[in-house]
Amino acid sequence: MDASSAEILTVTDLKKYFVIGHKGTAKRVPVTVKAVEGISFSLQEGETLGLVGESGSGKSTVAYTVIGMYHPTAGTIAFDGHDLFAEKERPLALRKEIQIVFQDPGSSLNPRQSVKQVLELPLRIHRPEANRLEQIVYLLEMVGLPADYMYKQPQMLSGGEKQLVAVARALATEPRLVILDEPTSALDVSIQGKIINLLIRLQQQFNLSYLFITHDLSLMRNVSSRVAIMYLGKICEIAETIEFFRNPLHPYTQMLLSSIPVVSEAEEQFKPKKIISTGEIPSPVDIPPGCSFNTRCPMKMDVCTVVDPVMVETARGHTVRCHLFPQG
Amino acid sequence: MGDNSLLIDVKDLHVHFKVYGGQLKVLDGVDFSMRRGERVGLVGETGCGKTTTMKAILRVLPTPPALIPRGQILFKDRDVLKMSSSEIQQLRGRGVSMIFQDPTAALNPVFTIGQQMEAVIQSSAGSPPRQGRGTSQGKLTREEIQQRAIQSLQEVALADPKRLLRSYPVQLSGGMRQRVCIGMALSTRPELLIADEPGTSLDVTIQDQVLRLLRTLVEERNTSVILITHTLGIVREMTDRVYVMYAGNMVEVSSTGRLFERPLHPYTRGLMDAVPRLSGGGVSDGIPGRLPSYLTPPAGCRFHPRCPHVMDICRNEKPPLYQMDGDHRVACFLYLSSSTPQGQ
Repeated sequence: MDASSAEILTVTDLKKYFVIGHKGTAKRVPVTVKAVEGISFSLQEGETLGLVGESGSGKSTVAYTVIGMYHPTAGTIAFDGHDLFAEKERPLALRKEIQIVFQDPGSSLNPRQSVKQVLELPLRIHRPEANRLEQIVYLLEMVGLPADYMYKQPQMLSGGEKQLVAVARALATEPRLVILDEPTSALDVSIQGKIINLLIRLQQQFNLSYLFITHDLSLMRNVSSRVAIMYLGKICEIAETIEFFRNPLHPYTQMLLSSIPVVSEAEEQFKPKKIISTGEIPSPVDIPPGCSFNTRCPMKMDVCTVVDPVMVETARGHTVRCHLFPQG
Repeated sequence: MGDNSLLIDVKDLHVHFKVYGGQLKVLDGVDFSMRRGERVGLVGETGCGKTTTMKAILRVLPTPPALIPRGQILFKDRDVLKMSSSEIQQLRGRGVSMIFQDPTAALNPVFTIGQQMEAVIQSSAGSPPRQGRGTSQGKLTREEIQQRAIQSLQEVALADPKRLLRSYPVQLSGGMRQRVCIGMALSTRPELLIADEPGTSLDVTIQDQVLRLLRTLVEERNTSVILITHTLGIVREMTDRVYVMYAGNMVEVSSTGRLFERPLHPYTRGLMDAVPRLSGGGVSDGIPGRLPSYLTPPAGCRFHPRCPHVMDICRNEKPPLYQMDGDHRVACFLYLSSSTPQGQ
């Protein structure tokens, strides 16, 4: 990783609520889902920040807000110092810098377009001056696909190859930040490695910054430099990856780590003491008061059902949001 | 009851599918057997024939496109391929239950949990519900059916089963839905439970809960289980024995402990290496290439185009399953000298 420690993405107190319906007949009270409830984090240039959480924890909402598919309810997102939502419509120059790779390449590539057409669109919009054919060959080569693949349709490609095309499309605009939204979870393990290693190589080559979203902690361990854990719209722990796996602090994080199925006895040693996972994840429409994890927490105290804890820095770069770690 | 007699014995099973332009030769001589009470894992990449094997055993493959040119499937010493359709119906209803990957798709959204569970219990008892007194021949009254449904939900650790029976699937969380599916599958007291990726659509902590519950339940009742998955960690935690499948062949069979300690087949080793480790150290590149086309599968060992140890013989001959130490068998010519081939 290139150690130019400039902050490329700064998310401050981001909130995103969705109205999913109304209650009552006379007074229609909106029912909202607090998908993201006040989260802050930053991403350094050239690093990979892993965003981990269960489904419904809001990690994809964060990604889609950064990319501009959603407008935040409150809070700011700054890219390289520029507020991404300062103008009503995000300027082209900023769009060019942030790209995304989706989870399922089967549905993120238009089945009626050839690979050439798929790759042409971002080039035409963001780099009209470039020689498109030349660039397409270059992009395919970059992800390790032969040039004649440009004449293929997505359904002629395997799952892994489709995802390679999606990576090429994301890199077509020469972005600086790429959001990877579960880029390998729709693929077999045997193919996952190839995609991951390509992404790491490309990161080094172009000094890319990655916001890597996944629920696979073992994969996260090998890919990201820092990890942020989300639970019900809030971040509960952020730490450097190595520190995080050595010393997980939040009870939820410990539960998460001890639930991972691993393939050897040696690997078991890397898991924290078994914390038996209990309870259901509460519905995001009806988040419990106090700390949202209190319904499942083995260390629950009285204060947890009343007061929502705040983020506390326990060691350099290691912050946790839990009453077990009081402020000051 | 013969305690550890064979429950399923599949020999040299070939399944082909007729398609435009030829035949897909999907299963290419699959041998698979399990004893009563055993928990067996079936692993392999997407499209390697895991589900086709299971479907063939339950005879749910539609047989115009599918063909079974060769092979034998015995369930409790009875030939499944020769059963009449009513016998098959019995086998599926009482003998075997299945849990699917996605509990949301497995439950009907327009019926309550109660309606769906009662239908399952009813049909497994073999008669429509009757008002009033039950009779001795396993026929159940409405109250008995409801009682059984409540009991099944309690067994899967769901609180307030009475209310749950009146709920619709959308009102439950993913983990609860999967537990309802498990409860439903076990409510008929099957001898065999086929679990097809039972935790994949759930979150890690919930997956852990559901799998732990499943394991306790099948251990209590000594239910035989076939666990189909491509998550190797789950196989390690849940099963006694593992079959590794590649492109329609069983390439390695072993007790779970031994397989994870010492995988022999280059494919199994590739698969294991590809799993990212908690200890770090980067991710292996995985296995190069992709699953071959079943229309024109490679001659000899079907894995040879992707194998890092390919030899001349692999291109021409199909390796038999070589017997290694204990119950470890592997279909690879690398082990030609270190073992004796098993006679069929």
